[in-house]
Amino acid sequence: MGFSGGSLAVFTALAPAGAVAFALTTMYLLVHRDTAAAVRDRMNHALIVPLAVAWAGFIASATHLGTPANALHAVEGIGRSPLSNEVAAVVAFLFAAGVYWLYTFKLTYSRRFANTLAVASVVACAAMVAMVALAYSVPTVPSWDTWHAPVNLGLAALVGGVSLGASIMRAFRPETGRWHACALKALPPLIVVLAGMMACHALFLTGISNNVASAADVVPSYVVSIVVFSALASTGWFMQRKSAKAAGLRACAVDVCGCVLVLSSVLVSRLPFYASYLSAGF
Amino acid sequence: MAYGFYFDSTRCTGCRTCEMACKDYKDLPADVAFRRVFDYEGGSCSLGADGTATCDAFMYHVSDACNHCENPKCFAACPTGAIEKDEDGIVFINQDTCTGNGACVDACPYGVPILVKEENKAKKCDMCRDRVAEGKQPICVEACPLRALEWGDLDELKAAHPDAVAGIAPLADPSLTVPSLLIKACPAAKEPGDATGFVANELEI
Repeated sequence: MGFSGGSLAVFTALAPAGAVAFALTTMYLLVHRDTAAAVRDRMNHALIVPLAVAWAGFIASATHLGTPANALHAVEGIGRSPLSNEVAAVVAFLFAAGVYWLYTFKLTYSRRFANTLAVASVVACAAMVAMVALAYSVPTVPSWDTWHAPVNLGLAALVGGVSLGASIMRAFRPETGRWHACALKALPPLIVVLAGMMACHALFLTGISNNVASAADVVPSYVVSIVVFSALASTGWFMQRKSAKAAGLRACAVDVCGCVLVLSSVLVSRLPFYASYLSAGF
Repeated sequence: MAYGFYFDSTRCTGCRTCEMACKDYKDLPADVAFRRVFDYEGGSCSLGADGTATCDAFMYHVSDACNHCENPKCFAACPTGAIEKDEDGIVFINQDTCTGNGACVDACPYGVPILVKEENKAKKCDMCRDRVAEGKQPICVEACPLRALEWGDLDELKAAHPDAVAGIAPLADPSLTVPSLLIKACPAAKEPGDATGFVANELEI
């Protein structure tokens, strides 16, 4: 599997999802500037959850490096190497989001500066998702160098991010009730579109081959992956929706389990992409 | 100036002396080879109703190492800048900055860079830079008993072998990376991208 697929599948499943959830929550606060200070503070502090998810993905990505001690040299390839651009964008997001999260712990802080940091985090999130999505545009790998790759990654980021964002919103009802409901409504179409796009990529692979193998042959289980993704994501969404209006610890646990299922489904959606690696040569 | 290799596929017998000389000189482990010899085969034989046999079977060898491309995709993909190209056109991996992330392995259409697990770094043919600096030829060229390999200034090689091509099957389409490689195609040789044959020694390479 190209690029040490397992750890990178975890990275591309978690880091963009965490970033999107972080951006959704901060966007809520940017839009609802009249949110009560106590609720605002608790929501800001809760941003550790998507931040931790994004960090978990980032750490997972480091496990595929043979010599992580040399990773700082990645800055030398910014602008030339898509992987360097990806690393730089992820670090920029983690820095901007981390600084914003830490800043909101001050007992008294400048709302204007906090908002500036929040906007910077949202912009960094968008840049990060774009750079991660474009990291696999390698002209000599035709099974990856296709428009399906960035679109699928963007959709995966949205599915995971909206689900995680919905879980955070749920914890802050009734203030976030409308956003929470919107997130849960947006999830099914996103799941359907991602499943459809995975099918498009699988179909695209049937026309790709080199002297040694055909791309479709190296991922014979793509259809299984689509089915498993759809089942996990739908079940997760159903659990989150079921617990949406209920109260209590049990309902909360069901929501968290649902979110974990959706994130797992995103991980499943990433695996066949890495398995589909096929060089233009051999 | 750029150095390059010339490979005469009409002479190559597939003896692997080039491959073994490289492994010996570079002290490579058993599962790592910087130069590899592909056995490319295809076609079939059939017996007609009149008892005559028709045959379009073919087989030839291709010895290939790093082609030190003019447009090396490994260089473009490496996030740490560990892959460098010197003034002689030799593409080499700086082991001090390589993270072993495998981007070069995936980007090279010739499958040249190899992740060496014991060292957690990517490695590949460096055209025997140390020997070249001493005025010698790469060890594979010197070892070839059939003189199927030549090495030198690419422009001089082109002048000496005007009919040479930049690629034959199973090598990748040369337009992808513009390899510093010239090949004298044997009569059986197929175009890059050919789908009528297959690499018969896939496990070996």
